[in-house]
Amino acid sequence: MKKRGDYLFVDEENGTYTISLTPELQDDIGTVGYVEFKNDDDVAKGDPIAKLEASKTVLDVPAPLSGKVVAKNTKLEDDPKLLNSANDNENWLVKLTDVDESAFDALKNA
Amino acid sequence: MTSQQQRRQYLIDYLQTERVNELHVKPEPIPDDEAGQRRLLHRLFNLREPVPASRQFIKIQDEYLDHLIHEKPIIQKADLTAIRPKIYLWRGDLTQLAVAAIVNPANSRMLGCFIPNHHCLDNQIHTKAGIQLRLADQQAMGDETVEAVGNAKITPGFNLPAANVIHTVGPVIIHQVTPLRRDLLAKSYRSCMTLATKKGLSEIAFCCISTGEFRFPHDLAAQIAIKTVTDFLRDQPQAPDVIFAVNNETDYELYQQSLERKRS
Repeated sequence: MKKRGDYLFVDEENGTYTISLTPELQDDIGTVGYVEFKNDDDVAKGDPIAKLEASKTVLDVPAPLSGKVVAKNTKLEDDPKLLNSANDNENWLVKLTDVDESAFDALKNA
Repeated sequence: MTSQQQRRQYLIDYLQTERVNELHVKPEPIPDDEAGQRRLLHRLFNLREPVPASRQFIKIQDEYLDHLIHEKPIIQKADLTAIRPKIYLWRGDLTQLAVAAIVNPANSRMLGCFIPNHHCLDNQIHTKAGIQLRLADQQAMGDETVEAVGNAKITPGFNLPAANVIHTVGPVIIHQVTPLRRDLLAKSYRSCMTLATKKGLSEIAFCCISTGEFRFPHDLAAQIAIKTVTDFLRDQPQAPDVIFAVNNETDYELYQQSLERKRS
């Protein structure tokens, strides 16, 4: 099930929550030239999960939900353009687990 | 006794020599008039990379800036009148405020404005604080080369009357104000308040973040500033007093109308 919060998509499948950028966010920040993941794996809602250096702003992407970062799309470090890809297998940023289901349910439907 | 003219001459010579040695640029001719010399020194400060200087340079620079700052009145919080509990509105030069912290509207590099004689506040703050500020900025940045919009960092104020400077990068408006950019402006105010509260500062003086070179509309920026700060003060009673330090009549009226309306 796909929802949205803080300009991000949160796609839930079997307890794993995949975070990617909404088209509005992609438009707003412009072409991403550099992606730097934060080191902390336990994140609270609002904590930065990655810094994006884009043509129109430098953005700390805030975690849309509290949880544990279990995967980072490190391919983005070499090829940040993948964030703008239409392919869901390559445009994701991080995957979270240990997310409170009611917090997820409270997000808007995508 | 050293005169301000002699100090200026020394500082210009030192900085020009540095540029000749490091960058192999020809020294600029020193103007005869005082205003021209001031502009040249200001320009040399702006262009200087964050590198240490000699103890003698720092001593003379600090004396020079102390005299420069005292050419205009220095304002304390006690000189101001609260417009609402814990909130002050004041029109004037932020760099003359002797408060616990002033907010610097920084750019993403967070090293101060490098454009010679630029009129932005980041430039004025760095020039009057002295070369120590850019070095402190660099130290605060650590390994990072750019700061994300909406975050805040603190440094000492050095030669400024303010004890500290809180640097935040506000959002730039490119074509239009988007919801993200409104949120980021609010985040800048919140980050500054959070940092000032954590440091136990007694007061913080805000400029109108993002409304200069970054083109955020003044009226909307004022609403976001007042709402964010008011909410923060309501939730955190131990937060510092807030001074909205505006530098033009338009902003003064916007803040005054909004703050007085909310009080009634």
